[in-house]
Amino acid sequence: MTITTQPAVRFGLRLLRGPTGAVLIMAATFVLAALTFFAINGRESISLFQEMVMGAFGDGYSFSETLVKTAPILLTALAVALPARLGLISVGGEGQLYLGALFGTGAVLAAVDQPGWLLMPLMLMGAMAGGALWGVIPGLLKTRLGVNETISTLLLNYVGVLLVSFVVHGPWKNPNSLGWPATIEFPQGAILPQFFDTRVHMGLIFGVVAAIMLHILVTRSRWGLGLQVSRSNPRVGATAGISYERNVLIVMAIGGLLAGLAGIAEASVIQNRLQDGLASGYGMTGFLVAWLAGQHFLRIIPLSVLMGGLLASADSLQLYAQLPKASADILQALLFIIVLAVASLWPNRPKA
Amino acid sequence: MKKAIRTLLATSILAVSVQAAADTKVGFIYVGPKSDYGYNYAQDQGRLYLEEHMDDVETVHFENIPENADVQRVMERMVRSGVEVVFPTSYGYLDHALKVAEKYPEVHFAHSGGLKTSDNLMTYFAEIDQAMYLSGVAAGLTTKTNKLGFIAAHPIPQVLRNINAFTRGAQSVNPEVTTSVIWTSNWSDPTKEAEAAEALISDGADVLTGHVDSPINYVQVAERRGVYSVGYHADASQFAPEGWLVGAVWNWGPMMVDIVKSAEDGTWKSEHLRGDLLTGAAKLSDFGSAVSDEDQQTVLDRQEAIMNEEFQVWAGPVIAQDGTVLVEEGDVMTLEETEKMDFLVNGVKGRLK
Repeated sequence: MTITTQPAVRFGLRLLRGPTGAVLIMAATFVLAALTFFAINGRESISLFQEMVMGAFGDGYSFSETLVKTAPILLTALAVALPARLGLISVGGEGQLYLGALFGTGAVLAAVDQPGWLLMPLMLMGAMAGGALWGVIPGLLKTRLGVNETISTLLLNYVGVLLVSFVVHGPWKNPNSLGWPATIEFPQGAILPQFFDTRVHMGLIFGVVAAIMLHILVTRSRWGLGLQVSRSNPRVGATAGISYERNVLIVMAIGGLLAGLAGIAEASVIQNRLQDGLASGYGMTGFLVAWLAGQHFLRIIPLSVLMGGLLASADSLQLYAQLPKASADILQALLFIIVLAVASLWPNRPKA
Repeated sequence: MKKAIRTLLATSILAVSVQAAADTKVGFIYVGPKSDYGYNYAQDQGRLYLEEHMDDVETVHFENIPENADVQRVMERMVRSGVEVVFPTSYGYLDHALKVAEKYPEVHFAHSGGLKTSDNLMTYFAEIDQAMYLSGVAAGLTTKTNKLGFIAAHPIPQVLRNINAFTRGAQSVNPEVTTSVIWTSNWSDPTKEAEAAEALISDGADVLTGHVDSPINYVQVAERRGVYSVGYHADASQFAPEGWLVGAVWNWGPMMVDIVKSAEDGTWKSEHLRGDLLTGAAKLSDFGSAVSDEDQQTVLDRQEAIMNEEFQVWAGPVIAQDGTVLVEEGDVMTLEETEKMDFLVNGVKGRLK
């Protein structure tokens, strides 16, 4: 017996065996897992899932809040994906974000009386410098002392978070806040532009532009090619005049700089001041997104939007079903596990 | 045609709002879990009281919402789902609540314990330092080492009032008493609270109390180490059957009913609404078996004096840590002054960070 398959069907099957099929299976498995999770909690799965989707993308307001969450996730994901191009595994987005907020806020406090045209650039430069510093330090530790960058970036996260905690409880505490640990509110000139009367801000634009620029740089430029060579064989690269050490510092600095921008955007637009609990774990979420996207800069953009939606819509789980807030974290973890599992089981697995 | 559509739209909006008016939706936001036997538990008890005592009220609530701008989104979601009265119950929600209140002028906000208002944002709180003073009396009568321990979250006026009132209460019956304070910089950090409790006991304290969201952690450590404890926010005596003395607890229900009623009938006022022992919004819990009948009577007599206004917690002399007289004998601190308190009294060991 012979089976004659139509060309269209054959094409479809080939597509399913490729990355598209993997993504479809991932999505289906995740939806199934989420529905099961709701059912285990004794809720009406389908309607709750609908509420979640509506809570993320259902109307203008919900979508704007999704984009608010997208901005820091996108920027911190880029801060992971760029070093990954050199084979580095950085988990330092959270600390770099805090350092950006710290240095940016420092600039604001130092120049608080200056007009916006001066204050804003100072703040952004401070933020970029702070984030870059928290990228360069593990870079230097790696190139000079051979310290594993994953460990050093991970540990520097704690230092960053605690540095911010120190200044807001101590030297930078607003003297008129009756003891409450936070800085003064940012003056109008230090608040990044927002769009359409929502909380969506310039940080999102920074992220999208940076993702596109990085994509072009890495795929089209000599430098990008150099990264590839450096990654696969640093010694061959060195003979061609490509310094692995210098590239490590460059990718870590640029990554840190982007995460630093995320931090100052949170402090400036979202919180209006520097305080504890600035980021609610965006750095780690960014790390997940970068890995889900296979360290591909352009894929990071839609995935950040999806992840932002997942986090922002967690409210509806509490509002409509009284599920605890940790449910969103559980769903996020489910997503990550499923993507990794499917990716490793799939024959033509997408590069991850 | 256009006009017809517009009329249709207007009537449907009207219909929706009439339907909404039939049932008042009230939303609560907690910084921690409502099961903490502490601050959030007490607020949630208020919510349950509200549901029980007002037939036309429906409530929703959010737990574990951090004191950052995330709470703005939570409040907006509530408002957009039809909530007309919002209770942002944690101190750090205040500035965020003010922002959301400005955006939704038709919604009423009642913030717990803040010192700012706007047209549609009022605050509610109670002078629980009166009950802390009384608990201090019980602690001062009970302690053998004359050392009391206080585990405190943030050096804000509410907390300072409680540390100072507790100490002054203890000093009123036992002038030798000192109170050591350890700050945790967090409303809820069970590990730090337990460590602080251990440290205070090792330093000689034999009565522990605190101002963090949940008293369970230090109460349990105290019980295990065989010392006494004074609760705060809610009755946690079940966690310390041996060492429980007494505690200062909230009773928000009646106050919340008044607030929601005022929003319904239009008598809402943008004010700082404050209860006390007399109104019953702040109360002394039941005594534990560790307090003798005689000592209980001393505390209750003092309670009656406060309720009769024969005695005031903040009557001078109030002396600062360094010995400066802040309030002369014969003067009394006003409520506003106590709500902006920024000092520790003589007998408190610890620094204002």
